[in-house]
Amino acid sequence: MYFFLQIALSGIATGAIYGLIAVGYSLTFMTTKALNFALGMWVMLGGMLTYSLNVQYGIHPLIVLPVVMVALFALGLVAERFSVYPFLRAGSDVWVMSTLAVGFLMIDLAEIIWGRNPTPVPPFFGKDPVYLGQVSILPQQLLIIAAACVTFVGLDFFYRRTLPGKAFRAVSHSGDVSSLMGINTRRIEALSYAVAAALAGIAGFLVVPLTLAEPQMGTVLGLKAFAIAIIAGLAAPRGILICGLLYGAFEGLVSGYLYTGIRDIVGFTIMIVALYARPEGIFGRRQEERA
Amino acid sequence: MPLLEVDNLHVAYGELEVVRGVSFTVERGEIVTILGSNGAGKTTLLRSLAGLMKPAAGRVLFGGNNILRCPAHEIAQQGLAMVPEGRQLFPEHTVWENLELGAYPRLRAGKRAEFSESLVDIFRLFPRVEERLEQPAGLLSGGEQQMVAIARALVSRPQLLLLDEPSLGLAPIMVRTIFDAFTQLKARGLTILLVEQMAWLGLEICDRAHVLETGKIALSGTPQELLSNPRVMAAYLGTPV
Amino acid sequence: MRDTRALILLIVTALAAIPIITGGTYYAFLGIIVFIYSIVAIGLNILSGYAGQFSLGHAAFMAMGAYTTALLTKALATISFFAQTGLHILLGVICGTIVAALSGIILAVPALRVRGPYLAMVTIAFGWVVWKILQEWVSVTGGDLGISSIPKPQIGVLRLETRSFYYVVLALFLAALALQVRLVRSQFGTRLRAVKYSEIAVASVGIDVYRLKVIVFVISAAFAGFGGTLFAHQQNYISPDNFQFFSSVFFLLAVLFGGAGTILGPVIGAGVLMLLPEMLHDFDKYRLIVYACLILLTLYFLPNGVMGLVTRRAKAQGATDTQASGDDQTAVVLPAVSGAELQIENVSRAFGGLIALSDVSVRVAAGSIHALIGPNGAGKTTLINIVSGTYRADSGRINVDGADAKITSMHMAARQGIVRTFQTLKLFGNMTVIEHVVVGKARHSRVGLWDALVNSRRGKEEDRRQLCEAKALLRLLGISHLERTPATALAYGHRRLVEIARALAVEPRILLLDEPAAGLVAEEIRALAVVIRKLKSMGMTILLVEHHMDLVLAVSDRITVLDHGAVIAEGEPADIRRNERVIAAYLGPSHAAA
Repeated sequence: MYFFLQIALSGIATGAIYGLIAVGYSLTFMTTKALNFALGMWVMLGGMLTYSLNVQYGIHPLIVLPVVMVALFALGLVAERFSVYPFLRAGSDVWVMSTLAVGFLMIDLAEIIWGRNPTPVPPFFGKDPVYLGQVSILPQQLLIIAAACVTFVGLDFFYRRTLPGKAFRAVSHSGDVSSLMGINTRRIEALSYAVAAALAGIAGFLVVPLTLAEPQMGTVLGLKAFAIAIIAGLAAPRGILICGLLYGAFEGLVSGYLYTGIRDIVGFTIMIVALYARPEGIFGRRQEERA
Repeated sequence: MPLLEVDNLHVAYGELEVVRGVSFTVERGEIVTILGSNGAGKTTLLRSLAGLMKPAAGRVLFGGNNILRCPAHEIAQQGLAMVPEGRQLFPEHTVWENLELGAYPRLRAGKRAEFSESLVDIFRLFPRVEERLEQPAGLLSGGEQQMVAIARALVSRPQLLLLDEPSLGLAPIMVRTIFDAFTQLKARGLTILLVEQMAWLGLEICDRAHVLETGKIALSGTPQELLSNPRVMAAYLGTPV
Repeated sequence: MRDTRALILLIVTALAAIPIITGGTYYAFLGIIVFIYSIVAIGLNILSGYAGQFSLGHAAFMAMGAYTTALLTKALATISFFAQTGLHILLGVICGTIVAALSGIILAVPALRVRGPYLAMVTIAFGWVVWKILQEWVSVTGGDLGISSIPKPQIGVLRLETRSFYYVVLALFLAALALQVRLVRSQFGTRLRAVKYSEIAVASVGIDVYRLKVIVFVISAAFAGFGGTLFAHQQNYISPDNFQFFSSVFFLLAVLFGGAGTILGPVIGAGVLMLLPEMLHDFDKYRLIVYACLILLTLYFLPNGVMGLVTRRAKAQGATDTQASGDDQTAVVLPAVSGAELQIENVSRAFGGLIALSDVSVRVAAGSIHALIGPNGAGKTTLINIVSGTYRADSGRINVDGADAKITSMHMAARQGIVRTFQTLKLFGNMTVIEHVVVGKARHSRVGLWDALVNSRRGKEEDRRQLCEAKALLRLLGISHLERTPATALAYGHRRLVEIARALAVEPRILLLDEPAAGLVAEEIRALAVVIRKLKSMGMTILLVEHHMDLVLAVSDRITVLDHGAVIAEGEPADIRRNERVIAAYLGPSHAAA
């Protein structure tokens, strides 16, 4: 029983990371019907930056986090301007390739700057597990869950309670009608990418002490997060969080009770089946086409 | 100086020219109606004026400024508000939030007082809107949605209001209410450019009207002139065989 | 044509001469790899370039082929029969290709239910799963260590070393290229290209688009698998590293860079991308950067790839180079049309809270022209969509000649003889006029993919017959002279006629015209009226949705008027014109009284 709780809990921490990244996909998809296909690489960038600032320069994590967020936010704006915006017009899916290209650029640049070797990053609040009754959890995992909760609550609050957040949602519904209200739709589209990039940065910051810092660390994360976003429904951020946590727990259980190697195989197969069964996602709404 | 001056406007969808050289003016305080059957180019015309489509050629002067190449949100901020065809409220936002979004630029600039003031007048005009403030806009009936859509356009205190087929899909009583509201708005000094498929509705309240046929203005005149013109009937019901 | 043939001969000779001229095995080795990658890229080009379905997981199919042949041939090599004859290599290649094709089916069936980024995602996931399995299933695949000592290719007792294998692979590469040409130039290829432009329009002429996409996906997987088998025997060692996500991206990049949807594009792309590392030092370190820059450069400056630049003008003409240039001076008699009776019974449909149609019944007599009119938002388009299978009705029935048509989808409706045109034209990009009509002939095609691939006599005859019939249709509509014009170059009025011609090619019994006069000027509308009357004289049943009252009054036998989703009047044109309710609906209550 405790074993179950143990791995479920640690799985939830991983799931929180997936959720953070997956929400990034959703944000950009809702406003532009396009997204950053290589978001995972941005997570990696966040992780590598964290490594540099925290380990190489010894800066405290609490300062590293905002720096990483701002850096990725700015980079997100730039990337959107050059690798997404020009291709939104075409009405095709060319942005898949262009955002992937940016991702590849980042991997290679990361390899050049930081080398290929995986490097450990010490956890921010100590290595010793914390005990909740019989169940232990690493402080970093607790941090992840806490940080993810705060982020989600913050995002939710932003989107539902603040005026700019409501404007974001309005643009998701219709960019044209929003601009009739005087809302700068273009700016909001660009900002949604920047926010997604910042979220990826947070995810990288949180996860890198658990895994190792290396340029290839983001690819699988990004794929899984996308899978989760699709299973939940790209236009349903709240559902995405739930699916992320569940997926993380599921992964942990598969690893714990079966074995790690087949974890991704099972997960991706489920995703393919889910997409087949319900293309709009579990929490998504089927788009009825009007004449 | 007219509030709106349209000069030889050409708008195309890809290679299909939908608006082929349209010119007209709207003076301050007027209601001008554009009539025409479907496919005549009415909606395309309004969308170009609001900045949602880029015209291929021509001039559009709003309050003396050329707005031809302006992005839609800037045009809105200059005082031109449009109620699009089919209402197009934000269905998951409440009525109140829709209104807030209608005044987005002002609210972002911190002018909440102005916003509240404009609401007072609007609620007097459409009491139903005040009753439904907390409801998600998607759940309202067609007529209520139309009122909210118009209210949403009015909160920005526009100088010129563009309306694309406001009667579409509404029951006659609702249509009556809404068109009465237009007359009241005009009395308060608002300038209105109205596009309607229902000829008599459009002609009832306007000062001047134009009939659009395949992208060109075929007829112009006062309501009386047009109502007695057999060509208007022909435009809708065809010529006798 | 002669020039092209001479050029091809020249290039082939040059390619064949390379190992001889250059000596050693290095260039032959490079050549083999380029040919193998080209084969995979060609397969991907057919799927992504021509049919427009993006796959980012094709390395998995290559892996299927490679591992299958590796395991099979290693096992069989111990048996002396095979060791003597070398047949195990052949068997391995064939089995590898089949296994790849089968896995193509397994992926295609779920994956092709979705499009665009979703499809890309599914193919990536599939590629990832396969890669993981290759790593984890150590007992079979050898895990990360891979499989080594794969038997070298051999014919009889003769082991093929690199230089000799070069010629084998060259021949196979040319065969693959020829197969691509065959496919693309066939009717199947025309339909594929049409799918890229408008799946809805293709469905509307009775083609099962999903099935088409699955077939092309499987063909593409087979190409990749075949390439994989050759790869295995060439390298003698394979491991999961050869079949990663980046390999799949490489192939798609090769297709895009070389020119998606062109014959030589994938070859050029594969060639350049393969040879690039050879020319740049330290390439491995910058591999991803180079690829990334290439992708972005291609997207910005070469959206149609290298070949796209080269053949932009040639494309319009080349595309019309149909196989059967039959002489058709003989007057072709159009098949008599047995127009069917259409009965719409008590159809209702709501969208959420909005009632679009409420208990609508319309009877369209066989061989008559029936118009559907009404103010904007009255429900006319919704009704057409229901009859043509785009939507389902919430309740009610559609009867054709008295029997329930049970329409569940657009292509099923077309198979029942109900074909429609679209208010917003759905043509196939820059495909020529005659190609549009030929796509419409798919429904009645008597030959299949096999005939196209082997260029059988039956296939050629069928092509000729369809071409004749297509030309006759163009004559009927007065647009014969536009036969080879790309649709994008047509005047708007002519585009409408092309859509009608395409619909007629399906030999409908009931033709649904959705606002055919939209966007037309007076002259064109008059010409349209002539065409519609001609169709009626052939016996066609026509349901016409229109706003242009002149046209409606000129051609209709009966008119049904809809308002707010319900029928408010029905009758002959003269009566409708005087009908008070109708006048009120359009012009206002006071007008009716006047």
